[in-house]
Amino acid sequence: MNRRFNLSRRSVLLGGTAALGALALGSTGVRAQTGPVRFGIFGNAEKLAIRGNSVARYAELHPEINVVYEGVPSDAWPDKIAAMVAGGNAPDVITLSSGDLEQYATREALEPLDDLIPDPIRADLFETAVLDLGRVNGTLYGLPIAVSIQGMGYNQSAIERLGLDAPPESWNYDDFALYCAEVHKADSSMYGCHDGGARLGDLGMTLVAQGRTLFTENELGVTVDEVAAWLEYWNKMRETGATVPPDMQAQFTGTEWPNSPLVRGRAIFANMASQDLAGGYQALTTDTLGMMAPPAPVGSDNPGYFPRPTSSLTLNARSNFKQEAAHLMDWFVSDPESAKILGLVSGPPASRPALEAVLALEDISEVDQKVLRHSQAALAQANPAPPVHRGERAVGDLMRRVNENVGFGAYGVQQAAEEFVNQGNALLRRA
Amino acid sequence: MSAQATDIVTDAPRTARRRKRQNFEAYLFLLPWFGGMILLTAGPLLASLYLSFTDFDMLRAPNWVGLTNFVDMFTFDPRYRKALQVTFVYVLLGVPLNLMVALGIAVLLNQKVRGLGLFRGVYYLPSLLGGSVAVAVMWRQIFGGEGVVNQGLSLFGIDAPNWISTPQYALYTLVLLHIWQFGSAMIIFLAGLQQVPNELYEAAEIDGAGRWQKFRNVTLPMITPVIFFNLVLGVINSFQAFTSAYIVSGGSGGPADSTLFYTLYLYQEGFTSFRMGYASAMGWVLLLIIGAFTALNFWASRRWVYYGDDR
Amino acid sequence: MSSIAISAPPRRKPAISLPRIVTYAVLIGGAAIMIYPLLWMLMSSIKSDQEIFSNPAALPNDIDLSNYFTGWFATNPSFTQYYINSFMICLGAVIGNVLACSLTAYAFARLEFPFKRTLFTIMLLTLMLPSHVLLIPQYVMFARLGWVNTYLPLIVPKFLATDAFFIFLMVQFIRRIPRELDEAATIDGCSSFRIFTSIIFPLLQPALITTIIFTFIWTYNDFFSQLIYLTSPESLTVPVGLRTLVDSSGGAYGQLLAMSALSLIPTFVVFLIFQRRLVEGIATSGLKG
Repeated sequence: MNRRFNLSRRSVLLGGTAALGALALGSTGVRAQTGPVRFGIFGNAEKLAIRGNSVARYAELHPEINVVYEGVPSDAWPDKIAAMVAGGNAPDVITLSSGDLEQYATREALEPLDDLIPDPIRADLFETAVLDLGRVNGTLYGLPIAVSIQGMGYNQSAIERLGLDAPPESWNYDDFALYCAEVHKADSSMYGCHDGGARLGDLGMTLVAQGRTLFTENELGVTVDEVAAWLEYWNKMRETGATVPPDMQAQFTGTEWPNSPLVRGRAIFANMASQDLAGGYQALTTDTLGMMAPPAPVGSDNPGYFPRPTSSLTLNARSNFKQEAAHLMDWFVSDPESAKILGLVSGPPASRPALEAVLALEDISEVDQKVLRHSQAALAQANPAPPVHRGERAVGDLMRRVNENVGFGAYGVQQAAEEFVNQGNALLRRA
Repeated sequence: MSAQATDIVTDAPRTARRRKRQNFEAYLFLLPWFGGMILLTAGPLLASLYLSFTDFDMLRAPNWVGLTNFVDMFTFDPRYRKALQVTFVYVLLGVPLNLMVALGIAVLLNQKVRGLGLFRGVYYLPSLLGGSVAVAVMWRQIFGGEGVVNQGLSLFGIDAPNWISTPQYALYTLVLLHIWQFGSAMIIFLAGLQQVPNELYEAAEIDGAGRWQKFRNVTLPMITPVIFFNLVLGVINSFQAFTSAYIVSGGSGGPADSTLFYTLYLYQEGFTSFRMGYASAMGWVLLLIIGAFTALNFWASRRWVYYGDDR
Repeated sequence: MSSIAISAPPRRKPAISLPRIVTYAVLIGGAAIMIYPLLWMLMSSIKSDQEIFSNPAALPNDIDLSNYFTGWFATNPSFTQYYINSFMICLGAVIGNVLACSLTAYAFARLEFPFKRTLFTIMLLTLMLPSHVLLIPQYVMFARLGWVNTYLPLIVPKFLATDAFFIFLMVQFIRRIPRELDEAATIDGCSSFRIFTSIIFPLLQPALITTIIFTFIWTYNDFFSQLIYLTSPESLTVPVGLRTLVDSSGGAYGQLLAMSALSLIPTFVVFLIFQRRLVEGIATSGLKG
């Protein structure tokens, strides 16, 4: 029934949208709309409004489909979507962050998209490596909206104020430590960088640079000694003032930007997902921020970049309107018109035509241009994305905890490393 | 959990006929509650009990795993122990302090004071905020490393730590937040103070009682049911405290798990790690813990709570 | 110690004395501590985002009310709709709780019936299970009833006396009402229902006011269930709207603080109106022991 309806819509589409509009207008009240096709996405007020505009435009172009837009505050999305999926009334299109994609796909809540290629989903509009980000165990479940890549944000104004040399184009962890220590020497109230020991992703990058991955099947791909060396590096950084003291780092929960040492003007460098430079950091400080390459492991010239989707559109396995929903998903991520409305609201778009449309925009802010430039350069050097594990978030929290315990002096480095590996493996098995 | 029952039930001689009529009337009064209980509460309650013996992940059908969740909790899980410890400290400190401040201010505000309404309002304002996100932003700005508190202390030459993000102190800022929001207990105390008949004070005055004696011998005994109520509910709610730690720590319970409240950990397990079976098991253990404390409260109440309808 | 004074009979005019000065000193000092964080919020709400966090304690450079206007219209629909929705839910919840909880409490406090102890214990138990555990089963149930994305899951439970807190509160208050009153009425041939409406309900006023204040404030602030059960943008409420202003991808902190400050006004006004009745209660409740 739906399929048949869809076919007729497609054939009408060939006649052009104007004709379709006229047809729809003439037949209002006679022909029932398909749907509702519910589109569920998260964001803050500003981003929800922009995303809503794109969906509204789609609805305008397709009056025969009743599209319902459901925008939810980001922090509350995980609870809400879990309840809705469990309750059997989730939206047809579900937006998921990369960690959640894994959770939902492996639990059969999502519809595999492979059968919907090439119509309505035009998979060829994505680079293979990018589209693979939406795959779980080889099956495509998500269409990436935008691609996130790691970057090192830095406070350009502060470097000038301190009279330091500009940081080099690329560097390794040793160079980085030296430069950061210089910052603290130049001004004892300043520190070099955010405490990266807490960031599981940064440890993951150093492994990727060596051609390894953090997760192998249901095991951690690092040894106790390697974790100890990592924690020890950051412990040394704390001792020299190269990185911020543990309490200053702990005040920044990871996404509460106003409390980040970078915004507070207490640190020069912060590892981040590149798109966060705009909304998270630059919006809250009058200093000029820039974006550069994160350090590479010693003995390597590659920082270990790998892409991740900022979030992906997925299809509810229980949707009654899979064809229509997939068509809307495809339009949202790939259509140039949608891309022009969305701009860089999620970061640099994942699909090729969408990215081209955004690059052609004229009113890109200076900070967004920095993000774009970095992202283009970094993606060119990026490694294949390592596998995501369902337990990644739990292990990430564990990393932060053991690093905090080292920082506050509760554990020695060796003990912390052992705890990380033991509990991490247990978490992966339990996930 | 049967200790309270003797408090509630007062046996009086009744004829069988009257008793029958009263039974019928009582059930009539209870009709909405029965409806809610059966339709809305009992189902989810029993469902969660069942789920606590399963590996439920919210998305797929649950599989029975017996006592695994409960065994895991007490043998394997180091964070569970930490969460219990944090929660007990919070309850044992927060509840008495919150009640003492609330009672003290309620008594002050139960006088003829100029601008009484405004004072009450100001003292209640923080509780109006509840668990709003603004509280998180605010609390971090005030107790953070460069926060207002430390700026004040530095005037006296004190170099104070970052209260909110040092493991030794973080929990106490949340206790303080709980004390700051004492408004609900204050209102219940105020309402209780209203029920104390003026005649008793007048009689006490005739006997030459001073302010303290009136408080000690009239007010305090007369509001014991309300103190009892606030204590029972305070304990129940504090064991379930969630929002303050959730918003202030950004959901992590950090730094280093120092604010990992029981329900926050339960939430992380259920909604972040999709281990809803385990979370349900945690919920039922918490119910047993709270139940034990409440039963203890009811048992002890027979020694100190005075009801007007006692004979 | 002298500051612990009990309501003086209303006819006596307050005299200026040492205890009184101490009372005022304590009250004003306490109020200053209580209100400082809120003043900080107000002060920050007229700053730009950069200014708020570069020097949190400083006074604003100039008064800029734009956060209030932009914040109000930052969401779609605007906060106007959110306030209307919030008030409707609150009104339903208040009526439901006052009626259903007082009926139930009366039965538990005054009437005799089989299984009373067990039922009372069950009622208390419902308070003790953390809501996150009940969330999914409850949601599944409301979804099956087809109530999701309506106000029914937020209001109907109140009419079915599911807020055990208020039942327990009223039980405690009813038990303080002298039994002689209803016994006299029983001898006069009044039914339980008459006793409830003409004796208990009026005398329960302080507890009812407390119930009204709390139900309004708690429902108004109840972010979680409103978030879970309401889906369409037009049906959302104030706390959900507030939560959208800032998230982990950034946001407008000034607007958040401005809208949070505004959102306090309705609950503050409700509080001020109803707490007045707690004062009048002294003179009018006519509680004779």
